[in-house]
Amino acid sequence: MVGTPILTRDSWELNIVMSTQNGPDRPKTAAESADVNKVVSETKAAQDAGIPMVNLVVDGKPVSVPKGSLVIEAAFSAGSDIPYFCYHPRLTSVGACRMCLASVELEMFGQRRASIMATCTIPAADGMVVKTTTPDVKKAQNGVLELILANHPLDCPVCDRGGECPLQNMTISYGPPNTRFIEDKRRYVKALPISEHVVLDRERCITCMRCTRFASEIAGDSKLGLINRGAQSEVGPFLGGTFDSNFSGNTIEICPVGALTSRQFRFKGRPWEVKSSDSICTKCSNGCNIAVGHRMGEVVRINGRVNEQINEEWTCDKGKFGNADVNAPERLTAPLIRDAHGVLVETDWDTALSAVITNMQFVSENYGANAIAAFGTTSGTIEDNVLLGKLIHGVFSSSNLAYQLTQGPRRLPKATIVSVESAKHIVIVGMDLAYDQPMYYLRSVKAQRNGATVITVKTPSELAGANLTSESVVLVPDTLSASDYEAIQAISSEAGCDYSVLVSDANGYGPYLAGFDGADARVEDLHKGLSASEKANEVLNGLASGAVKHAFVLASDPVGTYADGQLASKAFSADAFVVVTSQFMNATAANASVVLPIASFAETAGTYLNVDGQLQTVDAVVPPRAGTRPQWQVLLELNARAGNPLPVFNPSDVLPAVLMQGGSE
Amino acid sequence: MPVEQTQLLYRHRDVPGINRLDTYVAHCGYEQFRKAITMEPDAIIEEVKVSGLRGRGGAGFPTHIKWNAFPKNRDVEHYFIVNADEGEPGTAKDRDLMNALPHLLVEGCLCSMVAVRAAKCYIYIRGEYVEPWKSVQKAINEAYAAGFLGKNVLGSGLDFDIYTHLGAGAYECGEESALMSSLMGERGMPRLKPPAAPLPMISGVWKRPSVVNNVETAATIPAILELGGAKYSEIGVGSPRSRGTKLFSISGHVNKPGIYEIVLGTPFSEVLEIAGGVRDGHKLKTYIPGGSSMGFAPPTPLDYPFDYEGIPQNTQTLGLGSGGLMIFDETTDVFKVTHRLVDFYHHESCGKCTPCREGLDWLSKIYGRIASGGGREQDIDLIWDICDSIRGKSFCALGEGAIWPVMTSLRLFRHEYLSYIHHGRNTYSDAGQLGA
Repeated sequence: MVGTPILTRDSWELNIVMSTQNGPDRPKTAAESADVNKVVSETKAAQDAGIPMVNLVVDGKPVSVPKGSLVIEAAFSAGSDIPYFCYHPRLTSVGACRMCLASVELEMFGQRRASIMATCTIPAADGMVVKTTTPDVKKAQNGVLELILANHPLDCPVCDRGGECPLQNMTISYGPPNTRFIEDKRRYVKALPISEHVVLDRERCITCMRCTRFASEIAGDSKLGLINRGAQSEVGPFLGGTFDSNFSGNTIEICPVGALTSRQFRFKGRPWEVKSSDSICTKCSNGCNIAVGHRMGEVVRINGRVNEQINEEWTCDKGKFGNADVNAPERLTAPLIRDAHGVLVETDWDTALSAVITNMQFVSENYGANAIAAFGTTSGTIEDNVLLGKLIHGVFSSSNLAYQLTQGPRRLPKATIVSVESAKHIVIVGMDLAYDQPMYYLRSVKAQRNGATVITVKTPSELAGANLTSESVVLVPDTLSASDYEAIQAISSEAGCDYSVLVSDANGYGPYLAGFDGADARVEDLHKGLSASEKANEVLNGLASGAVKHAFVLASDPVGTYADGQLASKAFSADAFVVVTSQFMNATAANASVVLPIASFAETAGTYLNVDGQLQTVDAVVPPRAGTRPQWQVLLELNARAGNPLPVFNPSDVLPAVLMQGGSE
Repeated sequence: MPVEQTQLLYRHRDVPGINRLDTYVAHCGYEQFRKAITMEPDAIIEEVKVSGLRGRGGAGFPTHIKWNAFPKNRDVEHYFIVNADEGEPGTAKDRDLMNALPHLLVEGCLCSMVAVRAAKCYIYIRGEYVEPWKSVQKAINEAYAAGFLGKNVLGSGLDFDIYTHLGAGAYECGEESALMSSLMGERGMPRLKPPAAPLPMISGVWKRPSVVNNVETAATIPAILELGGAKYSEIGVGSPRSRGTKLFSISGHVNKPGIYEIVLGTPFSEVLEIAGGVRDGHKLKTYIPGGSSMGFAPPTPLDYPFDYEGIPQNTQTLGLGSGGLMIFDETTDVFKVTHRLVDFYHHESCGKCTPCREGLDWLSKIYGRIASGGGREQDIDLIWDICDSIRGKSFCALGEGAIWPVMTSLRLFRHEYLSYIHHGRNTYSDAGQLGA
C-alpha cells in the first residue's frame, strides 16, 4: 500500500468551461467596472506621485503597482481579469469567497515556487509571477464556483439582481455548466425584510461579508453581522433588531448576489430595462453623484456614482430612497390660483402666469419697484436664481432679492469633505452628522478608523469641554442662532482652530452666485466669507407691514424654515400677492395667491454648488411630470411675458460666465 | 533494546497531591521560574533555541523563532497566550496536563513570560474543559497567594498576571488568529496572516505583541531550563529536527489507552507496545498518528521513527500533529469513522470561506447518503473533487485538516466506500464491534 500515489482525477477537463466570455473583456456590471477603474486610476496616480512601486509580471505582462497593493489589483492594472466576490477596493480584505484564485510564483523560505493563492489576500511583491489563465487556475476557480453555487437557489428569473449580478457574470465566464450535487439546498424564509428599505434573502447569500464589513468599516455602525457558524452562517441584524442605518442602501449595491435587495425597487423592472443617467442628489448639501435609474420615463431607483471628492461611491438612504418622492401622488400637477372665495383651485398655466405678471406690473406701477420682492432658492439651480433675478431686478428693477433664511455665517467651510478623512480631532456641534451631512459623516468614520477622535456636542456651550486644539476640525450646522455662532467663534479662536459651517440645502450659495448680493459673484469670494445679509428680514418685515405687495417665492418655504417663524407667518398671512413655486404643498404655498408646480431635480437641468464649494452641472434625466414645468422654463416664460424675451435654450446659457470657466478650484 | 523513555513533564505525574502548590514546590516546583526570573530574557530564548523545541500543538513550528520576533523591550504590553482549546479529535494530552499538573503549566507560563517580556498571560481553555479550568484556576490562585504571581514578583520588579478564559465551544478557536479574535470578544474566525497582515508578535491581541503557544509547549520550558537547552536537545532518537519528549494521547483498539510521554523518534512499533499493543486477538488495520486532521496511515511499515519528520515520510499522512494517536483494528468500518469525522468538521467549520463552509456541508450530505444506501459510483469522484477544491484553497487549516482523513481513507480504503455504494453496508468489517 505504501507508496501508492494519491489518486488523481483527470475528468476535470470536462467540467472546465472554456467560455469565450472570460478574460478582461467579459461582461461586467457597472460596479465591477468601477472597481477595476478605481484600481487602475489609483495605480496611475501613484506612479505620477512617485510612491514606491513594486514590479511583477502578470500573464506575461510586466506591471508596477504601488507598494501594498494586492495581487488582484496588480492583475487589474495589468489588464488581466480575476473573478472575485468578497474583494472590494474600499473594504478591507477578508479572503472569504476564495474565488480570486490565481497561480502566484514567489520566493518563500529561500525557494521559488508557484502555488494557487487567493490573490485578494496577498500583497504584490517584487519578482512575483502571476498567472491567471492556466488550466490549474481555471480548475481551481471552477471548483470554488461549483461550491458557491451548490447552495445558491439559482432563482435568477425572479431575482432583482438578475441581469446585473456579479455571480451570474462570474458563472458565465468562469463557472461550471452544471451541478453534481443532488441533495436539497439550504432553505430559509425568502424575502425577509430587515429594515424599512432592505429585504434579505439568505438562500442567495454567499457569505462574502461585504455588507457586514460595510456596516462596520464604512458606515461605522456595525448594524449587520454574521450569525451562527459554518454552513448555517447567515447575515442579519443582531438579536432580532432591524438594520436601521442611514447607509443601509449601499449594501444592496455592493452585494455580489441578490441577497440584499431594495424594497422600493423590488419587481419594479429588470435591470436591463432600467436606463441609468448621471445626476446629482439634491436631498442635502453634499451633492452626492448618483445614477438615476429610470424605466419608461419613471424614476425607479438611485445608485451611487463614483466621485472621490464627495461620496466615493456611497449614498445615504435619504438620497437613495428619499428621492422616490419624484413619483409621489402628493406632487402638485397643476397650477393653483386663489379664487373669489379665497380657495386655492387648479387652473391652467396660461391663466396662472398671466395672473402673476399682471399683478407684478400692477404693483410696480402703483407702489413702486421695491413693493415687489423675491426669495431665491437654495435647493433649486443657480440658473433658476439667475432667471429670477433677471425678472425681479432686470425687468421690474426691484432690489428686494432675499434668500438667506438661516443665520449661519456665509463662508465655504475650511474642512472639505475629503479633508475630514485626515483630521485628528473632529468636533460636531448640534447636529446628527450621519443624517445631516452624510458624506462628512462617512469621512469622519474613516478618520476614526485611522485613530481620530470624534466628539459630538449638543450645544455650543459644551464646546468648551471638547479639548479643542489648533488641529481640531469643528463642524457646525447653518441653522443655529447668531449668538451661538459668536460663542463658537470665541471658543474656537481661543483654541486656535477654525470652525466650518455646513449649509443644509443642495445649493446654499446658489442665489449669491446668481448675483443676488450684487454683480459678479465668485466662488473664491465665498472662501473668504461674506458679510451677513439682512435682506430676508427686511423683506419679511416689509410684507408684514404692507410695504411689500408682491412676493415671488422660488422653491423655498420661509414660513416653514425661517429662524423667526413668527415673523415669517405674520408676513405671509398679510395681504400681499404671493407666488410660490413648489413640487409639494407647504406652509408658504398654503397662503399663496398662485402656486406653480415645478419639475423635480431629475426632471430639470442646471448647476449646483455643494457644501464644500464644488460646482456640478446636471442634465434632466426624465421628462417632467405631466402638468409640471422645469423652473427655469417657467421663469423664462415670465420674463418673456414681462417683455424680456431671452435667447435661452438650455439653462447653462444663463450661467454667470465666472462660474463657467474655472469651477470651484 | 527499547528506547529509554525519559520522563520530563510526567516525572511527578503520579505523585499524590502534585496539583497542590506545597507538593509541587516540594518536588522542586517553581525552581526553574526562580532561575528564569534572574536570567536575561534572550538567554532563555537562546536555551529554547538550542533545545530545538518545536510547537507541541500540531504545526511543530520552532518556538524560539516566534519568541525572537517579539520587540526586545517592554515599551508596550506583551501578551503570552496559551492555547488550551484542545479540540482535535483523539487528543486529550492538554486536559491531562492541566488536570494533573496545573502548577507545571503555571510555571511554564511564568518562564515563557519572562522570555517574551510579557506581564500578562491568557490561558484560553475550551469551554467543555470545566475540570481542567477549575484545576488551572486553583493553581493560579495558589500561585498568587504564594507570591509567584502579582506585583513585583520575588522582588524582581516585574509583574506577572495569568488569566484564564473559557471558550464557547468552537474547534476553530484553537486556530491561532481565531483564538485571538475570540479572546478579544470578536467572532471566532481566522484572520489574514503574514504577509497580508503583521505578525502577531508585532500586532496581535489588542494590536499588541502577542504569541500563542500550546499548553504542552509552555509546560516543557521548565524542563529545558532545568536540563539546559543542549542537554534537552540530546533527548530524541529520530530526526535531528525532532528533539525532546512529547505527550501522546493513545486511544482506540489498544490494550492500555492513555496519555504517554514518549521520546521523539521512538519507533512506532515501540510506541504501540507502550500502549499495550493492539488489543488481543486483533491486528492493526490503520491508525491516525496525530489527531484526526492528519489522516489515516497504512498498517505498514511499523518500524520507523515516530516524530515530526518520520511520520509524513513513512505514512503519507500530514504528520505528528497534536499527538492524538488513534489505533484501529480490523473490525473498524473506516467509512463510518470518516463519516463521523466529516460531520465533526462540518459542524465546526466557522463559515468564513467558501471551500470549507460549502465543501464540508456537501461532503457531510454525500456521506450521509452513501451511509444510508443511496451512494453512486460517481460520488467517489465527487468527494475527491470537493477535497481538491478545499485543499490549499480554504482560508485556514481547518479545511485542509478536514479533507485529509477523507482523502487518505479514499486512498487506502476505496473498496469500503464501494462496498457501501454497491451493497449498502461495509462487507469488510463488522461495524457492530467498532469501539468495543
